[in-house]
Amino acid sequence: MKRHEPEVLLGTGTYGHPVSKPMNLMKKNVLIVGTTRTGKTRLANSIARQQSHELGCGQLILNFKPEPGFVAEKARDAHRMGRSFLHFTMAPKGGGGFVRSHPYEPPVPCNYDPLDRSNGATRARMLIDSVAHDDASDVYRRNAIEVTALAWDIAAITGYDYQTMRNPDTGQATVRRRRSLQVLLELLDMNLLEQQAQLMNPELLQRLHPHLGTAEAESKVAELRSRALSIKEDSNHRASVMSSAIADTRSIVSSFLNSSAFYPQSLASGNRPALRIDIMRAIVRGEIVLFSLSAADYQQEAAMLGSMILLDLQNTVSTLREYQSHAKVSGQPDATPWPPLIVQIEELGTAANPASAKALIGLLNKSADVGIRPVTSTQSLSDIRGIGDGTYLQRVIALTDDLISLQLGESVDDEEISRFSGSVTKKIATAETEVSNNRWSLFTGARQARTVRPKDTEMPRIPVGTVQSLRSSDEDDVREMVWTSKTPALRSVHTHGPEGPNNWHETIEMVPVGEPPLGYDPFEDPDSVAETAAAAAQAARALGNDMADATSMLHKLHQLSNTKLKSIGDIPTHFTELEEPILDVSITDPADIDVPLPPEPDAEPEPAHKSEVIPEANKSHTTSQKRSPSTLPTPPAPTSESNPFARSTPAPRPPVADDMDDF
Amino acid sequence: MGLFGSTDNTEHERKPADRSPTNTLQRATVIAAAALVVTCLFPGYTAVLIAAIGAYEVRRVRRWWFGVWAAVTSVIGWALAGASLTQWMAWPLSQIGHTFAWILAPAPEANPIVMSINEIAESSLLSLVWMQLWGCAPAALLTTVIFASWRSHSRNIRGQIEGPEHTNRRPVGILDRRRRDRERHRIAAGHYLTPPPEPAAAAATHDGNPHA
Repeated sequence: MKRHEPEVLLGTGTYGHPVSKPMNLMKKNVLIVGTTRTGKTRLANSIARQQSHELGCGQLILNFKPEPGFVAEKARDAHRMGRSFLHFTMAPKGGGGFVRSHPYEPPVPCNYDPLDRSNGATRARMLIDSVAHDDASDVYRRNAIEVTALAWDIAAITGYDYQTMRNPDTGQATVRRRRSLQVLLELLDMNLLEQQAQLMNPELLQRLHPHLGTAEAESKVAELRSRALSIKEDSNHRASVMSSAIADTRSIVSSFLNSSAFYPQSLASGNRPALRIDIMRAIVRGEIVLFSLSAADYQQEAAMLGSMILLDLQNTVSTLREYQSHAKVSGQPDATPWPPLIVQIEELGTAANPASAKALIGLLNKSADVGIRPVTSTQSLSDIRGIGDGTYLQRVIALTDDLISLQLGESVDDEEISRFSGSVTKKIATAETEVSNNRWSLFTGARQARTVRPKDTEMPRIPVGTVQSLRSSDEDDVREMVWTSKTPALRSVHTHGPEGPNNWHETIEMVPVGEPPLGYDPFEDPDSVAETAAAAAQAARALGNDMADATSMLHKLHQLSNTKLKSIGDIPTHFTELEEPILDVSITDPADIDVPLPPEPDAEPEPAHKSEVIPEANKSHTTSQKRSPSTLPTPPAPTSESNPFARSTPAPRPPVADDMDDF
Repeated sequence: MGLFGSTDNTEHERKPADRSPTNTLQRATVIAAAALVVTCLFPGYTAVLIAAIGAYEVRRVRRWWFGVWAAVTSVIGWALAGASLTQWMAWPLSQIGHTFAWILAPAPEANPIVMSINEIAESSLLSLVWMQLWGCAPAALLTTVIFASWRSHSRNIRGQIEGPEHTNRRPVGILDRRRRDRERHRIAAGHYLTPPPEPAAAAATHDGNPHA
């Protein structure tokens, strides 16, 4: 019998009935726990797949224990549902190039710059907070955030975060946004930072903040310059906190940029929209985005990037919430104009550190009302319990509505599962013994009485020891689990209720929905491969059309995140007539340095390992400084020509028989 | 209890009924004798009763099922008896008729039931068994309903105590396992999902999409 309300099916209950839960009750975290090879990933994939299928959900997956089969499964799901599929992966530890796992997957690793959006303060916190730190290093952290935010803010004002590229075929110049981390690395050279600070002027600042009056803009420019100068002076003292903070930050950024853990230039926005991961776009379009972050091979990088992804998602949620407050959405509570997003985190404990735990908790706290649906899995709760002061696990569990446990090996985790299930009053049988004797104390003894006396005892719904005795068999593919749900009410019985004596919890046999068959090989049938690749190209073209559509929600959301306050001239006079008197601040124009222009860069950006602070870059921007604000670089608009996923150049390239052309 | 008297040191509210061994033995003898007589005279009734009570006690079959089966077996029995109520009513007495046929010598004014019994007396053993079962099954099942009603209260009280030896919950049976296997296949195949629209379904056929 078909179900009218969309439900997530998990398996079969005690008497063989389907175990399910309505999707509109699965908005908060679903935590899946189980030792290795018990079926956690299969179950998480099943939950994500069903919600994507029924609700049009996109998926954002962080897999800290990646494998090709997982990638192929997600690509298959995307293909079946007609969604875009993007895959960010780290370089293989033993060397070698990128290998596709499914014909629907893009032919090259996708690009992702977690620091591409937002203001300097937000990005600085994202970067610095993605690194684990203790309370003793808090002062360094504050300094690092300040100098990082200042560097990015100055770059945004002067346009240092853009670069000019010239098309080798047509000779036409276009402007492209540079890698955020590269910009930061260069500006952590205090001399360059001071130079850029000197290049600022009120007109440039007003371009970003049109509501500022001239006096305010001048004042702000003076403040920023002053701060840049004082930081430079501070950093000259080797023993200063600022100097250490800058050195640490430079080390973090450099290790990220130059790390061979990432494919060259993958930590950048890239110039192909179809290969660029944008979380906001993924939410609005229901894309399936997979981050394969191998914590076993690159623990630190995986943890850092994982934290940044979650922080980027938090920032995106803030933007979405702001849009939602303006949009009129009717229907159910917490309804959103965009489809929900499944955030699936695999092997959560593998890359766990305080930074990622904080990021996760922040996400779990803030996301249910904007359609973010977390599904997390971990082998052991001990991995999370061991983070920091041990409170993270309790906070994660407090924000979890559904706790599913497959077979576990640790008694400590067993107790945690029992605790989560809540306490009930159970009648426990107590045996009674009849003692007999006589006045001569002969033949005395004790025997079991035939009376059973029940004793009321507070006990957990799921007794300790239950999850350790669950069955997990590879032979007949039987995976037993117990599931405690808080919505609509706390319960562990799902098909033969109501709960009561000898019916406090139910052992469920896990059944994944829509899994690929065993031994699935997506490259087996050449015709299917060609058809799938064509479908991927079609999805890529659809992306281009969506991005070019000025009436689409995606466009509006991007506009919202770039919204500037009104120009000073548009503000009603009764708000401006009481303007503060202009202070007599003498502004020194920057020295007019006559330097030759650098050679034009190639169409492809330089590889990460060749990056270094290039003094000439300053000169190109010094030259650009001489232009009026209206001629400063603006972000390139997406093209929608016959091949919408060619590189963002005005002249279309002739099509060639190659996968890359579709991307 | 001790050889020279005993003192019960426990403080119960409920104690086992105070019975002397002699009374217990007498009661057991009477019950056994009655059961033997009933079994000899109505073997079908005894067999069905034992099976039904076993089903109730071991498999926790709910008592309303026995009422349903009593009605069903009544209808079937009556139909098998040629839609003859007289014939059907004679079937429970088949064993009696077979055993004591010499008592029931036919007389011109013998009633239809006696005549039926005489006919039965000349039937084969297999026929006897058949008639016993279909004749006695409804009564045995109705007796089980009464028995289950009498037992249900104590079972419910006992079932509130935690533990497999006390539970009153129905154990998992063959039909449950068959349902489980059936549902596993349906769930895995996406039977409960909304079928995708045509273009996606067509594109996914190469992946073995069951909705195609």
